[in-house]
Amino acid sequence: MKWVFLAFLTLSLSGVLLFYVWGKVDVVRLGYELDALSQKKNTLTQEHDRLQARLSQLTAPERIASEARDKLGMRPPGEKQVVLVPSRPEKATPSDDPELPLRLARQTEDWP
Amino acid sequence: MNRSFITKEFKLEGDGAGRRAFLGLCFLIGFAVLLFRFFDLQVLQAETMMQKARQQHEKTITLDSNRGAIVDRQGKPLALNLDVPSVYATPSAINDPARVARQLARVLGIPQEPLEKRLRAERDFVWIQRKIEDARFEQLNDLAMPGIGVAVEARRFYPKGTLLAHVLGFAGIDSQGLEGLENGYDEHLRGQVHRVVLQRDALGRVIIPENRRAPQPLSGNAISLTIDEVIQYIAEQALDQAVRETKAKGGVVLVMAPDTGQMLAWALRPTFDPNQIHEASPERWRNRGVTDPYEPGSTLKAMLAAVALESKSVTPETLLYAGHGEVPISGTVIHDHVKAGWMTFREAVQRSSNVAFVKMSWDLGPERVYRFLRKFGFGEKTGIDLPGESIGLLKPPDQWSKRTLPSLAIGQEIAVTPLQLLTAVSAIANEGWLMRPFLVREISDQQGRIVWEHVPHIRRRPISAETAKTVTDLLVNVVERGTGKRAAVPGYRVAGKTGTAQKVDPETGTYSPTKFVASFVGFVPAEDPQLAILVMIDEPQGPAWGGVVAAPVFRQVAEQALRYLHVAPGSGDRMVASRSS
Repeated sequence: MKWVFLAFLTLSLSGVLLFYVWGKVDVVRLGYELDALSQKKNTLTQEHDRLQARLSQLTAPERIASEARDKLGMRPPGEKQVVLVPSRPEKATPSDDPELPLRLARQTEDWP
Repeated sequence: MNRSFITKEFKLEGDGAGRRAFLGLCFLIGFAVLLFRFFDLQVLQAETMMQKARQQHEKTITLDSNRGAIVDRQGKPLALNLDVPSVYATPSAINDPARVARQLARVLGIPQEPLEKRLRAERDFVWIQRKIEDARFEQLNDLAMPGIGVAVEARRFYPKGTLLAHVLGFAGIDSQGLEGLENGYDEHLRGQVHRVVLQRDALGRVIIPENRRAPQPLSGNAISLTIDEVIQYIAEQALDQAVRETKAKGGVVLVMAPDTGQMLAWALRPTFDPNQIHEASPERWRNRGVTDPYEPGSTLKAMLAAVALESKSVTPETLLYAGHGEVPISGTVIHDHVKAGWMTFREAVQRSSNVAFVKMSWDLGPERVYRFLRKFGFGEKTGIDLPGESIGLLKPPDQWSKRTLPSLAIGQEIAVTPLQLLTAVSAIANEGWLMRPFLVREISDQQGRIVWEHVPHIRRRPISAETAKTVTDLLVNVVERGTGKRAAVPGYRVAGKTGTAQKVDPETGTYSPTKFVASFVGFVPAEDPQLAILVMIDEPQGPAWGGVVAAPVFRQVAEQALRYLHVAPGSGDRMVASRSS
């Protein structure tokens, strides 16, 4: 009986020790993983920063303006292309075009 | 044979007690030697051994902090960091310094001789060139020279090039702020460089100890500006065009939200690229919007009109005699550009009559003029969050000569910075409240949490709301009927004042007949001001009138910025696009 108890005690202690060592080893293993992931994160952050810088250059107003002007042929509206229309037109006379001012005014409502 | 010999030996030693004593002695000596060695290692050489162990197991890493980003009011990056390679050498590992220096000099584009000298230095580590371009790095990689290594460092990068260069400033090689906001907000932008000691295994891998998190660099805070990248671009484009067309020496365009003091654009010419700082002289770095005072000329009349109205000295309809365009002042004569007799105060502002303003200043008296100009913020810093701001020049009345008061009436014998002038005019736009201008809206930490926010700050109220409204009407009249017609923006009521100031010739100490500063300062829409804009063109060639040179720049900036900000045209009109070309 005494031997059985001693054997059980020894096995239990060994189990506890093994569990403790396993825990320690696992922490070290996870530490390695963490280190590797940390390095990967740094690499990705560097890549992100580079891409953000590139995006920022590509969306610069100067570049957008030159692309719109040179590639798409766009230009700011000239003086004759901008018409000022009274928002509260004076009382329409029979000779006035009844549609024009209201139609133009309505169009402006859709503008951003 | 050995066996017999041992037997013989034991026999020679005599009985068992002697053998035991001998063995005991051997063990004793052995233990004594071990004990001594143990004492030697653990006590006598403890320090040296601990140091060796530390060298083998521990690794000190330097966590370089990332400098915080600078973004505009829409969050668009204006300054950020890029990891770039830096080249270093371990001179002791280089066998042929002359050959290595020759190859490196060719790839990096640096002089060979001083490089070779550095490679021959009796040191373990020397920098060769820091923060090199990617193309050079690739060439260097192809060479694969022993003793030459590459470390990664963060370099400040300004993706928009010259845009807002004077405000942003720049950071040095060690990521320290040197100019502009980079300098002024350095303590917020700069992270903390810290060193962390980590355990490593036999393969050199890092072991993260229990109860500790993986070390993270402590990055600096990000700064969000009041500047809008698009309005900034609009201002710079308009200024570029004006400086180019008038062959001017330089120019300034500042745009402010008058009700808060937020700066929306800050354009200066000539300019520089903060990415290529070594190519520009320090003269170009200077932020002349706050550092260089100049005589404002007739633009000051907007504030002087406010002084006269606030003091009840005049009303818009008060009749003034403009002396047929001339008024004698202590041995000299001040002229008007257009000769006139009697005119109302409204017309005096509209025509920018020097004579009428000189006479009005005599009525007001030196003390009152000085007191109000100080109230408008002249002769003191605006308090903007930029380093190096000048207070300008406004002498107290006890230092004035007989000519000072009439000179002040036409914007001479006073020096103001462009920002001071814009801030003062913004007070007229803002119902008389003088605001403190600012550039940084908020500061946020690494996680994006706002740690500081700028609240608009009222400095004082130099004039009442009623006076501000009357002055606004007078300034609208300047644009609709007077000298500032070219600043008019279709669909909006613009209030503003032109100015054409002669510059002092440094050689003669007198006003130059050929060098002028043309300016226009105003706000729009007059009934609900959204933008206050100052335009100053320095030494334009040809016609130098503020109304001819600077006013069109105001119009160009205001027109585009109002459209961009979706500010509806005035109550009378709506703007639509026509199909016809």
